[in-house]
Parts: sequence; C-alpha cells; structure tokens
Amino acid sequence: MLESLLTALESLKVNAFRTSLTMLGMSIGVAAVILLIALGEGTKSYIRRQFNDLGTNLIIIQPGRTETKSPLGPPPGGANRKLTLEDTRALRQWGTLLSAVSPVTVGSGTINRHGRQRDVTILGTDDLFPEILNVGVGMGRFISSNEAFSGRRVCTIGEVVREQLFGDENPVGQIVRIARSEFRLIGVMEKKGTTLGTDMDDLVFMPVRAYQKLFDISGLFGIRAKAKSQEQLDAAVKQCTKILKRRHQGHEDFTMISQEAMMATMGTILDMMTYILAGIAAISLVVGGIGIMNILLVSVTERTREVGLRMAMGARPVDVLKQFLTESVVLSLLGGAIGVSVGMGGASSIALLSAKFQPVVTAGTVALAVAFSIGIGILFGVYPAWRAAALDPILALRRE
Amino acid sequence: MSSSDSTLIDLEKVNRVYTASSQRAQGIDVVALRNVSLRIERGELVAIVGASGSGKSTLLNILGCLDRPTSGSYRLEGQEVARLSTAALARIRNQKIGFVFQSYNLLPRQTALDNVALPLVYSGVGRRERRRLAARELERVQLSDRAHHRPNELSGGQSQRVAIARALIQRPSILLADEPTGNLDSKTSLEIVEIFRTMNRDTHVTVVIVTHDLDAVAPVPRTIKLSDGEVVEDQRVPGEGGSSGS
Repeated sequence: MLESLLTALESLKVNAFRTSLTMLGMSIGVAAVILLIALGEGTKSYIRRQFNDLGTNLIIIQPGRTETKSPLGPPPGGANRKLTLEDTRALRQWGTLLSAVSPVTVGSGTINRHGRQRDVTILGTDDLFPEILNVGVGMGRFISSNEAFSGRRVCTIGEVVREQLFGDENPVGQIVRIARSEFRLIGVMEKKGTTLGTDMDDLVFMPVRAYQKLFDISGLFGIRAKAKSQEQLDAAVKQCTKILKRRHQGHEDFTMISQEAMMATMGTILDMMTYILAGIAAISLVVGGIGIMNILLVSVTERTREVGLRMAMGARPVDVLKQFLTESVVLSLLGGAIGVSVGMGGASSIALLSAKFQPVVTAGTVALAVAFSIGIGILFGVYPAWRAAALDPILALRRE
Repeated sequence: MSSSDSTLIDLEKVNRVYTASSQRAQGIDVVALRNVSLRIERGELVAIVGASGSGKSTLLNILGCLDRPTSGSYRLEGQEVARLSTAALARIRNQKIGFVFQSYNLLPRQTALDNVALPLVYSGVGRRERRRLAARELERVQLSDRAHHRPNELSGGQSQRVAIARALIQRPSILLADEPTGNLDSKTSLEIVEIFRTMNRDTHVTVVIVTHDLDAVAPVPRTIKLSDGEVVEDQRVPGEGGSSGS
C-alpha cells in the first residue's frame, strides 16, 4: 500500500504542472461544496437567532382554520369568527402555562407632527407585548394595562420613527397625529433592528382599544402568548386550544403556531436549499472527476511501455490496476484537501467581513468532502486503471 | 530423449496461431510457430536465430511466459505452464525468468539502483532490502559507481548492464535476451555477450539469446535456427559445452 502510494506520488511529481491543473478542478469543486454548505448552515443559525430574538416560547394564535397544514397559518380574511379581547382575557385567566398573553391588531397608517410625516405599521396591543417579543423601552414608558383596555389615545414609537419626526427634540409628552386623530406620545422603544424582515424600530404601538375605535373594528388580528418555558410549549399550545375551543362552542376555528414549529419548518426549507446548492456544486466535482479520468488515460497511453515492462518483471494485472487507481485517488484526495482548506478559508473570510452572518464548517461537512473526493478518485480512476491492467505485455513492450 | 531433472524447458508440439480480429481479415490465421518441440537443459547457453518473421520473437514470448501457446505443451522445470492464468504467469516471470531487451527498457525517472530492484517490488520485498540486493547486483556488473545515475546519464553498454543486473536479481532459472546487442557497437556488444557467458559459467543460469545476427554472439555452444515458425536446425558445437555439464 505504501509502495503504491510512493510510486503514485513519484509519477505525479513528474508532470507537476499537469497534476496541479487536474487537482485544481477537484479543488474548485470541493471548495464550492464546502463553502455552500457552510453558507447554508450559517443561514440556518442566523435565522434561528432571529427567531430567538423574537422571543422563544412564542405562541401565535390566528383566527380561522384550514385543514391544510401550513406554518404560515390560514389565509387571512377567511375567518368567519374573529378572535376577540374576551378571548385574550380568557387565556390570561385560565392559561396557567402561559406567562403572558397579548392581543394584536395590525394596520398601516400615517403618523405626522408639524408637517413631518411617515407611513408606518401600527400595532394595537397591551402592556405585556414587550415581554412577549423581547423588546424593551428606551425612553418614557410603554402602554399600561389600563390604557390598553380603556382605549386612551397614547402611543409608543420606534427609534426610526422618532428620528424622522423629532430629530433631536425630546418626544415624550408631545402630541402626534395618527390617521387624523391626536395621540399623546408616552415612550420610545429601544433600538432592536430588523427581525425576520420586519424593522422593529419602524413601528407605532397604541392601546388595542384605541386601535379598534380608530379603525372601527371589533375583532383582533391575532393573539400572541408566551409559554412559561420551552419544555411546556407543547402543553401550553394544547391548553390554549382547549380554552379557546370552549369559548367558541367547541369549534376549533383558529390556528395555533408555535415558534418551534415555525423554526422546524424554516429549518427544513433551509436544509433543502443547502442540499440543492451543494448538489449544484457537486456537479463541478463530477467535472473534476472527468478531468482526472482524462489525465489518467493520457498517462496510461504515455506509460504503456512502462506497464509492459512492469508486467514482464512480474506485475500482475491487479498490481497495475492498483498502481493507477492509487494515482487517481491520491490526485483527487490532494485536490480535495486543497479544496477543503480553500473552502474553510473562504468561510472564515466571510465570517470576518460580516458580524451578523457566520458561515459554519462542521466536521461532518469536511468528512463528506473527503469521502466524496476518494469516491470520485475511485469512480473515475477505475476505467483508466482497468485499461492499463488489460494491456497485453507483448504489445505494450513493443510500443514506442 | 526423455525428460529428466536437468531439463529446464520442455516444449512439445507447440503451435502459436494468431487469429486476425478485424472484419476484413476474418478467417486469415497466421501461424507463427508450427509444431515446435524443443528441450533446453539447465545451465545451457543457447542462441536462437532466424530472419525476421521466422517466429523467434513468438518463441521468446512463449518461453518468457508472456504469451501462451495455442496448442501443445510447455513444461518449465517440470511444471506445465501453457494453461496457467495471467496472474500465475506473472508470478513465474517474476521468480524464474529474467528479461533483457534490445532497448534496455529502464524506467527513465528512476536511478540505476531502483531499476535493478524493480522485480523485487512484485515479490513483496521491502524498500531497504531491495536497495541492498540491487547494490550487490550492480557490483556484479561493475556499475556500483553508477548506482544513483538515471538512465539518461548512462551509456548504452552501461544501460544494458543495469538491465542484466535487473534480470538476474531474483536468481532466475532462465535469462532471456532479445537482441541484446542490437543497439550497441561491436566492441560493447562483445562486452555484453561476455557478461552473459560469465554469468552462465559462474551461476549456471540458463541463457537464451535471440538474435538475427549470429556473429554478434558467436561462439555459442548451441544454436537453434528458426524459419517460418519451424525449427530447421539445432546445432551443438562440441567443446563449447556451456555449463550444463551434460
């Protein structure tokens, strides 16, 4: 084994340039696979962090229900029975596994003050909402429980909205106009950034009752609840379902989505995306393999006489086969090793350039790449090696 | 003439027929050897001569176990080898046969020492032991000072001596030389033939030299002449008994 390895290295050294070019093909393929899987894994952990930012243990309750299982819930507008503030209260009262429950209404509107204005997303909710979504108040205070259900016209705004409307002025206590009604500004949220595509700093919060009056609606967009712990998430979902079903005369006309289920679905989608990308990258590995086969066929032709001589000296066909196959595997493995280091180097460069996004190269990925390299070496080396082994020593010796 | 323990090579009614494989030449068989019966004793020094196309190369290939007869029997040291598998034949070539070629056939990228050691690779001898044995063999052909030279740094005569050392490293029963002086000038040719003679005398290795030019190797104790695939002459020169002792 060591013998064939040394022989292989020796003959690869002779055509160093040719060898490097062939290895380059393998290297690019392996590097691409490593990098794409690293990016996929990185994306997955990035999104997981985003979900965690939103608050783990989160339970999303939306009105309406379809038999179709979807992590995105039922299509909006299809509900014949809305979720109400009474539902929220019931959950709060009987939901022993929940640490917080908040009603949510969502819409868009314009907020303005002294001619400065901004089109924003408006959320009507109550005092527990910051706890559920893991957001804090930076200045002033959030809506109180009393205000939420009495419908007082107060509001809390995000950092981006404050910047636009007030600049350097102190906003707390000022009057703003939302959808042509006057609201007193009571607080500014802490800067949070974008989570899952929503800019958390570009929102306006108001008491849920105030929202219902302002837009003249009776129901809710949905309810957000938080389980006491991750372990109790499933039980909490069951409990919520039971409570709401009783209130809705036994009809399960709403949909529960837990954070975990959403994450699992996203994970599956991302895994699939990663596999598809890696599969595309693997095509370049096949191209690299064809390069190896090509160069080995050339090598067999060039060394026909050598093969003949070795056979005359007592090499069996299997010895010749082993020699060329070893050469092929050494070639693909060296190329693969270079590819692994280039891929890992690329991944760490990306990690250095981006603070948020960290590509992940796992040991499993590297093992996969190495195994693939060996596989390619064998797969594309067998035919040239077999050709060499099948040579007739007499004819081979006569070849010029 | 019955075969005895001293018989090394025993060919009986050996035929070698090449069947053309191409469509156009279908059905046209070429008979390269016709009913060749031949016996060579241990320690003989034999020249096989004949014009090109006489079948001497085919005979050499069969004697060297590179080829198999189409029909007939070939016993080497009493063992029937005519029907052996390719792997078994490779083993016999490795252990019992040493080849010397007209064009030396040294591996260009390896030193004289490693070239000499090549047959040992296929009998599983370790690298260090191979080199030790190869060095000893190079000494016998007086090339110790060239051990680490590559073939392109050697003269024709030196190259052929390396090839002879390679052929003898396994202590084979037969040394088969195919036009060994074909690429050499007459003075060097004499030196090479002299080495064959010396090896034959000192180690009792059976030497079979195939040549189209008998003068280059003469005088030899026994000359077998081939023509059209048949043995037409088998001549022993009295007094040039080789080392067969018979």
